[in-house]
Amino acid sequence: MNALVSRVRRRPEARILLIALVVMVVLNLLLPDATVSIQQVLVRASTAGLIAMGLTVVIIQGQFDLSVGTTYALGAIFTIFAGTSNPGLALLAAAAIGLVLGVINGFVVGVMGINSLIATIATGSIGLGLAYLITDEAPVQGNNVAGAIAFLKPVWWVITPPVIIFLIALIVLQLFMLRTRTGRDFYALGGNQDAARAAGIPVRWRVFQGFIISGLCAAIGGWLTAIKLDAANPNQSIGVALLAVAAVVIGGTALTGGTGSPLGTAMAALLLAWIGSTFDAEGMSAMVRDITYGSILLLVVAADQLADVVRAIRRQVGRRIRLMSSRRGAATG
Amino acid sequence: MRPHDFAVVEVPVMNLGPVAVVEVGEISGPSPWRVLKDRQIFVIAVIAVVVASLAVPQFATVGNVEALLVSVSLAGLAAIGMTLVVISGSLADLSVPAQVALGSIVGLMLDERGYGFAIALLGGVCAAMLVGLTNGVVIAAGGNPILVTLAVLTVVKGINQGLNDSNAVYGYPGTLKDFANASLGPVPVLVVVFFSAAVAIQFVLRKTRFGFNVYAVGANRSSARVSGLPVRRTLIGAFVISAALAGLAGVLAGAYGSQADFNVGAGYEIYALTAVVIGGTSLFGGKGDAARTVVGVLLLGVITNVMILLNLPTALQPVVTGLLIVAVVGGDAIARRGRSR
Repeated sequence: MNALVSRVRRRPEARILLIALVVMVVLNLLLPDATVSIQQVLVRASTAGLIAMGLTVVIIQGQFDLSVGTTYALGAIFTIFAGTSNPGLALLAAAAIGLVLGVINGFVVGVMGINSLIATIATGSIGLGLAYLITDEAPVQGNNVAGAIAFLKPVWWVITPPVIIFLIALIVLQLFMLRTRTGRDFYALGGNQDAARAAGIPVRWRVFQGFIISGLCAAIGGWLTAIKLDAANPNQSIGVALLAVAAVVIGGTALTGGTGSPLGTAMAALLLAWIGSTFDAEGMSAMVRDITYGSILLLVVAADQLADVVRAIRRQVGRRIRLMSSRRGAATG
Repeated sequence: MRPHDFAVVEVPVMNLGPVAVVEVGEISGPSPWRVLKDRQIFVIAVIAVVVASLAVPQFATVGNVEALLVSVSLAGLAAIGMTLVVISGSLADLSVPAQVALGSIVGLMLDERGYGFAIALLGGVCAAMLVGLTNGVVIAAGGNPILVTLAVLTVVKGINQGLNDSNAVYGYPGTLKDFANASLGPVPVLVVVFFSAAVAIQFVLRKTRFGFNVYAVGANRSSARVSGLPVRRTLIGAFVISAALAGLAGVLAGAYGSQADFNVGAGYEIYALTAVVIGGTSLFGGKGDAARTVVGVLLLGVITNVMILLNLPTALQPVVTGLLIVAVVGGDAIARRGRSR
């Protein structure tokens, strides 16, 4: 039992599991009558989760991608331009733009060596301008409303097509990060880039791969939204990147890189979607939701600080005890 | 044992100010080429202004320059504040938009309820400073700045949406609005405030003990701590001052536009960070100053202004801004790598 507990505690997902439990209990106490449709929660989590999981890969590398919002919007716009009547072709179009943006990010960060925070602000800004240009700054409509309705019909139980895409992405990314050599290189990069380079890891190529994964995930997230709504809007990029960062961090990935997992992020996305859906069902305003999201994030940060303090105290106490026992040993001996 | 005896972070060379960092082999002073390269953004800005005045006849008119300066002064105030945060090595303050919105809402609410000009202005600024204090305290305790300011942004944005029963505030036609729309001679008050803030922050950074500490903490936090500098107080100070300027921008934005809601200041964080970085202040901390940010703000303003005068689609502005960041920061990054090899 103890072995099992300590094994669970060592997983990066342990914290989000604990947070989820606490939040569920608190929500249940505060809003005992709230009914939430699991189907809706899953759909809600799938887009945000997809974007956040892609971002997780980049953050594990110790980089940052603030352009995911733009990539998401461009993925949606390209889906509409390719025509929603053929979702497969539209998916290819969205993936193509995601790939292009990922390559550009990889070039700017990996080859030119610009700090990824400011580099992805720049590429995100350029992409947003292009999105405005090709849409004339107005929402664009698709041509397949029937498809949009069918897209949200459950295939089996509460599982709708967007959720299937989300689950496939989750399994692929989780296996990639934990079971492949390339994925483990990502952790090594985030832990210590110089050591990773010295160990013979092709750093630039890995940075490229990370941003390509993040670009693809965000663009496919855009594709999901565009098929779901049969419309796309260049303004939908606003705030997406920051929400995704929140999900990544709540999911147990450190912004300093080297730890975390796509699974943790997916769980955090589900939790945030659960909270959002509960509040919506209760008719609460965006204000309550924002304050709740922000408070959870603050608590996570505070918990990290607290853990550091506890560790420091333990170390100090341990040193005192060792010191005292060695003195006693000297006195008696 | 004064702090100055131990913290040798940046050495002024040839009276050019601490911008010129001494590197091995340059003890005799930097070459004129290096001095120019360190100040390339000033050269770029001058070239941009000259080209704009020659190519676009309406550019160099009093009315246009006035409009340009007014259009950049509010976001510019936030950028000046962000400069302090970036120099202190804290990457960015993402909660700036929430501070601006909070400042505008609190300021106009106080104004509407008849508390008068001074209380409204101070109230808005102080409300934002409380947000900055929260940021500073948590970050000084070791929190990741991106994370903490993101969390604070989300919470304060939520609060902003609930203030005044979730209604926009329109203020009261009185001293506050007259002040924001007034002119000192030919110069609009907003512009005066922007440049005064820039001069004040420049003075604080270059001439005070606190400013010295900001550079020292940003250049190397652990050596600053070992040297006995008040690292925590410095970080908190940087965030509080940054928030004060964001709050001031908020009150003035609300008064100038006669409307305050949670959307005031949207996008200011990206704009401010862009201006700071284009100016040449390093995201790694310890380098740069407010003058550089002013040049960054003005350069962004000139580009936007020329594009409007030329009737280019507004959608091109973010594209040009992004390319400018890549060009300026990328050029620096490549040059730095070339030197280290």
